[in-house]
Amino acid sequence: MIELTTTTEGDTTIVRSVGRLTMATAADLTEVINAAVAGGAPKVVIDLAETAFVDSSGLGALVAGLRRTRQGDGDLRIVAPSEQVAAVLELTNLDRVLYPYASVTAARDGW
Amino acid sequence: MAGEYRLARTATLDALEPLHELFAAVHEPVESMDLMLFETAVIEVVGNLIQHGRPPGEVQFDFILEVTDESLLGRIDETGETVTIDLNNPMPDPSVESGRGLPLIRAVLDEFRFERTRGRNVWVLRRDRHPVAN
Repeated sequence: MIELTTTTEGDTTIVRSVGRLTMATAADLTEVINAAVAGGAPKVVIDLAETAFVDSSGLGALVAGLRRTRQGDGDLRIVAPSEQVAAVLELTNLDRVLYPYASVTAARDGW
Repeated sequence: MAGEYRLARTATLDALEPLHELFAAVHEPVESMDLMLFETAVIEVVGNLIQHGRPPGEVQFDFILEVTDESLLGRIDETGETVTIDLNNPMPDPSVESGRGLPLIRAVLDEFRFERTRGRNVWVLRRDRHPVAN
């Protein structure tokens, strides 16, 4: 299960993700990211502090989100991944394109 | 010290939550990263069954997790049709959306193999344990 709470501030969308980002929930994240881009707030920050677990489908949604936001003149940044999420990002080399920021404020710095 | 945990389900999205719960119920003092990464591998194997198992929505699986002093051992025994699968495909480039399941499984396990035994597919998973951090 996952709960995605979205806050929009100007051209930035902050998504707080609580739960597990897996095959069962990855499409929900994709939908939220697509809506952010379509709604004119394509700089997307995903707060993963309370996302306990990610699988390869969840990673796919993050990679797709990165492309989608960049195509919409935005970007996608992730914040505070939990132990499992950070480990999986590293093992799949995705930490090279999804650098984990320490906080939402740090992720938005320079935007 | 050895513990055994079992789950039998149909390979659908509804099977994922009980699997996570099974791992949450492990009471042996396993190093958290060992348990999380082993859980990751198991979720990927079952996810693969949910996505690609034939007939879709009808594959039954039995999962056994055994916690020994040395290792986490998993066995997923399932009724799906014979599969042809390349267990050796490399980790995709970071720009690619899919194809990370099997390489991720390999990255977190010390042993991963597949057998076809008596008309069933058997996936064998092993991760050797690391000392529990104090």
